[in-house]
Amino acid sequence: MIPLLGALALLGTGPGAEGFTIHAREVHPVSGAALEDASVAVREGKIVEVGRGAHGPRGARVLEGGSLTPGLIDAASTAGIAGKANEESSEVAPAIRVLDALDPKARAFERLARAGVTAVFVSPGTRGVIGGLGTVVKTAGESLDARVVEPASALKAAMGDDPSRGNIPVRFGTPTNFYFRRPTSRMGVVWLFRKAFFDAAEARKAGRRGDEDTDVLAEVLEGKRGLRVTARRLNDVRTALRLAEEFGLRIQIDGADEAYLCAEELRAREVAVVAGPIPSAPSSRFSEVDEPCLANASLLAKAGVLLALTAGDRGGEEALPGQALFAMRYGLPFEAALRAVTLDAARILGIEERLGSIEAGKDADLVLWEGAPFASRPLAVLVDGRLVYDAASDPGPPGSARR
Amino acid sequence: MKAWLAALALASSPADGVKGVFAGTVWTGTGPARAKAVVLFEGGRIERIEERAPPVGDAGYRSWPEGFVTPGLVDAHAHLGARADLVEDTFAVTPDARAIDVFEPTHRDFARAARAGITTALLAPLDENLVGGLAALVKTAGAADRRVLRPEALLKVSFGAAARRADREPTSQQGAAALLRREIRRAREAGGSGALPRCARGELAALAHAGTAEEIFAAGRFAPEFGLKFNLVHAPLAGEMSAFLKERGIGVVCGPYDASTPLRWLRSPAALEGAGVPIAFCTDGPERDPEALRLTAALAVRAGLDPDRALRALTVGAASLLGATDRIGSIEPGRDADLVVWSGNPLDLGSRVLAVFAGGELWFEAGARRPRRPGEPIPAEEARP
Repeated sequence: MIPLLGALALLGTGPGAEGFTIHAREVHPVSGAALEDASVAVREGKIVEVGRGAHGPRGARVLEGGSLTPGLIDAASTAGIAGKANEESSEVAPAIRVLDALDPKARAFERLARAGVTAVFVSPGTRGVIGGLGTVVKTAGESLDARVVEPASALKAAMGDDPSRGNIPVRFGTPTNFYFRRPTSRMGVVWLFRKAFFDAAEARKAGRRGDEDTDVLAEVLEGKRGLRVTARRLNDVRTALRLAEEFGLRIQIDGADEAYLCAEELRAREVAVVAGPIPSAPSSRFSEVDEPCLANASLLAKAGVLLALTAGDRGGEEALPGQALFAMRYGLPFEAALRAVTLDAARILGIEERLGSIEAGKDADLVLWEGAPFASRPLAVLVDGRLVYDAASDPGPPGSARR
Repeated sequence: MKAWLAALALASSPADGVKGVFAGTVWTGTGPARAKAVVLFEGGRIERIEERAPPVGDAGYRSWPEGFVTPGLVDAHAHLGARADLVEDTFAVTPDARAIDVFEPTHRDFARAARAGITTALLAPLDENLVGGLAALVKTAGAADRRVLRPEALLKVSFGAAARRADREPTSQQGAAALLRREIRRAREAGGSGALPRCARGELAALAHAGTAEEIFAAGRFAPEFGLKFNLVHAPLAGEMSAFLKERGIGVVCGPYDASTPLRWLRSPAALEGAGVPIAFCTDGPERDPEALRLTAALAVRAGLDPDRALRALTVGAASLLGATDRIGSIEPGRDADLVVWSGNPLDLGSRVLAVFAGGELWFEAGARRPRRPGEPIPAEEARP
């Protein structure tokens, strides 16, 4: 493993500064139709040209492969969170920023980059009703600063069981730890959510200068900041939609295992969904959900819901390319699956100006696949025009034959 | 009776009347080492350095022809003499708690540090509070009434795991950063002469404990966000993030290291120094023996740090990081006459301390037998059973 890390570190600072010409039998820009036998020119971290005769700058390194896609984006990752995923001293903590707890050197980022995932949305966990601000970061890159795409992205909230699990009502005596607290039920979760936004709306109406928490809630109320809600069961999804309507909030949903049951409503309300992860084998992860459906993503896409996919914290065959394959296996067309892990994920995160498609002027975050996207292995992964993974120098996982 | 009176006279005299120190090598900290030089004292300060032999027969000069003289070493993060009293953990944010208020100059921790060649130490609150309080820069040697160099040197902050607990805000690192952000904003709005408002205005530097990469990352982004003066302490992986720290003007107090410290950590000082990040070393004493300071620097040298740079980090570099180069850290005219005479280069762990001068006074001499003043070190050979 150490030589591999060394190789990755070397690659991060080595070639790439002078540019690349990347040629593939199929180039999938995502923003337009696929191009056959086309090239992409990369210079100074950006895509400069796409087309048959595209050439990188003089001295550019040439890469060739089966297909080229934008770098994949996981819109609901848990990568790199060090320690507890939530601040538990308060169940409503809008001013918390997950970036403050992000380990830029986490092994998870290396694993993601090798799988072709170049950017992730990471948010606080689901232990808080309102958990705090998520962040969008790249999984690799030249400097730590350049890796942060959005330091403070959408606000994270959670419906359902997670925020109340483990809490104990205070009946008598003096509370001795944080778990003697509300909420203890689904109803309590909604109550706290509603109280937080009600108070913030009142403060805003009265023109009161708020603290950090109120400021964040006010930005959400004004539509300046997105709200990501984890809602697994149908009733949780419906509750989230109801709360969104009540306060005029622009929400997006992840977890969403039963979202397919109200796909029409989600489309009508223009609520985006981050679906997954789909386990490769039956698992207890669906225990909170009454009617899991492996066709969740394809049914949502068919209904016209803006869709992204996530692998959560899963790796190996359950990593993001695998999630796209699973979704395709259960009915999602390839083009829709590709969009869901690139441009549509970027749209949901509000970063489509920089990431998500192969267009001149966008960040050179690219994956060169040996054959078809997802189904074959990545030959090369670029982040900001730097080769961060090169299959030629990858000895494969320790103790195994080369993948 | 006569001997007792003589002893009393010696004990009460403010200085031993030392006019200067002659040694085979004088390493000044700022210029090239001087061979066969005499360092002249005047009023507890260094007057000048002359490359000549001392006047024959003048008892005011002490001479170590084979000796290696350095400025007194600086331990840039320690809890000497007051380990348990350096945290008020009923709250996570106690900016106005002051380490100087529990400083006891006659405590044996200081005598032991002085005997190991450390003449100045940062007496810092522990890592168990998000904002621990004010650290003091103190001398380990010299007259008790002249020991305090900077009563409010730095504000101690901790991004470490010890500051996060399940029974008190914050419980997580995200919570710690958010709480600090809130406290700094409030301090800035409230103004005044408290430690946090002064820190928020950039008048008082902070020294932040960081253990892991994400703690360094968070602490590093904090400084420019609020325009704070920020340095880090411990930060074992800082060397791998040296470009990030250099860009933000953040220095690092490295160590303490020992024989079981991973090589990846030991490489940190060399990487930081190579990138132009200011460094110093610390012992966390009394958790580690004062000798850990030299050991830490020597291990950093073994892992690639230039020996001269290591010696600077132990002296003038630390003084610069702690904002006290006007008084300590180098052998230059006007600096306090805090010197250590070694039997050889202190980075050679075989070298011993032959003598320690504090404020121009001979404070400790190996093998010397004479009455001790309060707080004066017990010579090593007497201290051992």
